[in-house]
Amino acid sequence: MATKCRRRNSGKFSIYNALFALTLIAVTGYLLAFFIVPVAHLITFGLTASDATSAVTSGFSGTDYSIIDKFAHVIMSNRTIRVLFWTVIEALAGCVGSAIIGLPVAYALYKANNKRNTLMKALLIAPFTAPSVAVGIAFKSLFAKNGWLGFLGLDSTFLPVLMALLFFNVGLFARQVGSKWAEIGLEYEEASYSLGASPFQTFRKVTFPLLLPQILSSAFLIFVFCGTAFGVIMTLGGEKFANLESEIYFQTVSVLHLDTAAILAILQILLMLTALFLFNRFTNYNQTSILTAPSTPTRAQKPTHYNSQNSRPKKISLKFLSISHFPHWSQLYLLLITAILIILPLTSLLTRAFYSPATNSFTFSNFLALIQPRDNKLNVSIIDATINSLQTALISGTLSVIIGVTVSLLISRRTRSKTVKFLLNKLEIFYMLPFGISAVTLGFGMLITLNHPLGLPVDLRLSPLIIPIAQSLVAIPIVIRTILPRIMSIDHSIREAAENLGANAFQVIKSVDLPLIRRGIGVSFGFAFAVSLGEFGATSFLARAGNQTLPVLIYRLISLPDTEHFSAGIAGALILIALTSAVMLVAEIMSNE
Amino acid sequence: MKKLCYRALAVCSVFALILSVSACQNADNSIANDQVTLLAYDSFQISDETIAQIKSETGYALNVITAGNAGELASRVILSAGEPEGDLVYGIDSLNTEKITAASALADYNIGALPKLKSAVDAGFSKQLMPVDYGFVCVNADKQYFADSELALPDSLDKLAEPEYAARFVAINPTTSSPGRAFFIKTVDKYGENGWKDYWLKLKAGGVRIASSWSDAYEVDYSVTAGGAYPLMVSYSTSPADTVDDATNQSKAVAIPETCTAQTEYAGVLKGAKNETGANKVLEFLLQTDFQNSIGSEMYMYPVNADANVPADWEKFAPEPDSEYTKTNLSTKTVSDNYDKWLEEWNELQIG
Repeated sequence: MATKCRRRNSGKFSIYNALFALTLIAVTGYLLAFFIVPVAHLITFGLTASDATSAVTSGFSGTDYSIIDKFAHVIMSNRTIRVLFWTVIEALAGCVGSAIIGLPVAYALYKANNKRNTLMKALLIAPFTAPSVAVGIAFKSLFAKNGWLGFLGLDSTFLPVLMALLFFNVGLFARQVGSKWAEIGLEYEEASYSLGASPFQTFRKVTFPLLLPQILSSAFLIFVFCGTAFGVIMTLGGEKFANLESEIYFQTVSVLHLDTAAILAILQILLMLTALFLFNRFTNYNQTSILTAPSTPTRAQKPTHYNSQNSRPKKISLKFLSISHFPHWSQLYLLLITAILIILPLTSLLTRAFYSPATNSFTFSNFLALIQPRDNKLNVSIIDATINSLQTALISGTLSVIIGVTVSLLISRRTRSKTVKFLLNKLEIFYMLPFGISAVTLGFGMLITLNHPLGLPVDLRLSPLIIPIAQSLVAIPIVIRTILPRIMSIDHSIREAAENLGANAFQVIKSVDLPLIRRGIGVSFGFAFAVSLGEFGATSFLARAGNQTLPVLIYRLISLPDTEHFSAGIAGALILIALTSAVMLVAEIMSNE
Repeated sequence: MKKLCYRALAVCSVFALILSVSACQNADNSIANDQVTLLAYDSFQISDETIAQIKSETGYALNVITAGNAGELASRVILSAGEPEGDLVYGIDSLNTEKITAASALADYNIGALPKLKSAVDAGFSKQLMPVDYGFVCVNADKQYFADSELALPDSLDKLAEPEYAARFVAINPTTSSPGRAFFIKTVDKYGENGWKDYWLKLKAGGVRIASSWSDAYEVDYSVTAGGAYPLMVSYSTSPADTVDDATNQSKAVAIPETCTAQTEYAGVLKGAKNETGANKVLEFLLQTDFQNSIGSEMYMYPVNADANVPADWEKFAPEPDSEYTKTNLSTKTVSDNYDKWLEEWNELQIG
């Protein structure tokens, strides 16, 4: 019966197949035009520059190295090996650290305590798009000789770098995994308890396996995020912890060695593809099907009720702090992590934003300077920049969700055509790439390609849409990472049931997939919007006079050579952070309803 | 079901429409030849009044695009040589002049009579690069700190490398920062292509702090402005004017003239500019006293125009260092040919 239906839908020509193909072409074309062609153009430009140009743009001028010699030379150099080493270490440390610290946070936020955690959720997600220059400065000040944590003597070690990476990502991890956790039907855990399992056993045998796809998915995202960290590495790591991202910046921007940069960009892409390949091997979405029961009212219902059996600790003992009692003290843990990782650096920024070095006192003047463009000398008022940023992020967020959901839906469809299957498989990988490659490569690639995109006589560099497009490339991977595990965990038999009842491909999507991923769409829009709001790397290469975004304005203010502008920049960074948390909270609340 | 298809199609076509309309609209705008687009580094500042004045005097509406720091700006200009993002570029520093010229990113400028320029400024060395302002990168010192301490103010690069000074000194990473690079080139100039490594090794052994950017050093490490632990930092000759104590009318900092190095910044007309005539007209305006007068207060640099003024208190707090200290023996060509190699070596030296 089921086979018969599927045959009907995948038979010869039908409007569905045509639309399927069209959609596939559209999403492939988008990536091709705005990502693959620009990056490939920059790389080939670097590797094959003519003699006249290469005198300026080659890291090997004066030698007669062939491309292969250059590859060998770059890859074998100690410098490249060191840079690769630190890239992997930073990526691994960031993602493993975020997962270990973030998993209990996810529990504390989304399972142990309902509703009352709004403030905590906002705080934890606040750093997500914080401008990395400002964050670097915050952690550097904390650990500097005269700083609050200066007594530790850890200045210029790896710890500040790691803490900054965790600052950005623990909230991201907790949020993504937590919102999935909240969706897991209580009945599975209840069944486990009724069979006599302890809370810890239940977590290990029931909950954790259910969460694993999301954990891996989020950890992978953070791996990539930390592997391409730039601002904090530059500020906190200096030369010692330089990674591929900062090396590509150095080769492209500082010394204009486009051939060396191109080889490094290829290495970065290969590294990313390897990571993706390994990730795909270890996660097989289909093995962990369904088991989510979104229609049942889950988390609204007494989520900690099972503790009542063994709760009421009579006296405070160390046993109380054991892992199986985590539900009791999870809020304590949450407070501790938030205080160390989030509140400490944010406070350091706050003191700068509200402090006037001229009068040595508390002041609002840094914020006021942002509102009056004449005083900040940049001729851009923060209000204009904010409105502009919000508009850009809205377009980019919408674009990202439309494309990200479309790609996820396409990937999750069952198809018999080997070519289509192959294409879909690659599509996911290639849509992840922009997230994992250097902003310099993406920005410069767009810059030198989009003056005539695909040979058309339009200068897209001047279009206001170019920034949302660049931002969407970075945001789509997050949408896919949020949506795809959810779609994949929907049992295909539900779709087959719908088909058997006579639903066509669109009705299946409308009545099966979309309702089940509704919350995911809300969450991913929040993320896409926030990522776009905070995106600095690629935007900075494409921002024009009339469309400066908030992060670009903040960066300019911070780098101006005087303290007033710097403080105004820090004040701007705090406004951006507050804005992001507000956006994420709204997305959270809306997706709960 | 059909409804859903149609809706999806409608949404897609609306998006496509918006995309193409806005792309075309803007392409049209940029061709309009009453506009001039100026590409500048991030710290370029121009007031609305000056923009209005340019409009009334030259007839061109000025658009400013900021393109990162001086290094990023130069890279962007070189990469888009022949297909520029704008008509005019402002802020090419001495280090990049050779590369910009070799990449044929600029057209010869074509402006009327030059205003009277300061004697130190060489306007004739290139037909493409016009000097527009200049400044000095100098080591700055915390006056109070050295008044209270046993240590005397250091008065040479040699002194700075002595352990007691090196441990109190913040230099800036030359691979990421333009003042950092200027100071680095100064040390190469002073100690020679073979001697600079020893100098930096001495600094390193003494415990010099390397900040990744000027702001980083000024706002975290420097004792004068950040309450940091370092009373010496690589900064500008004009920085002491930013830390004047109102009560005593004295600056808390002083620039050490022996450590200064000169930086000239250039503007030029981009080759392939959509509005070359306009670009030349605006370039001419940028050399006139009206704009040159604003360079000191807006950009902390010195104007090239001999009749232009700098803020009144600069005479006291930010005097130009004696040219005997700032002249270099290295030719621009030597620097341009070698600095990428030097930077990589510097880089290795910091890690090794």
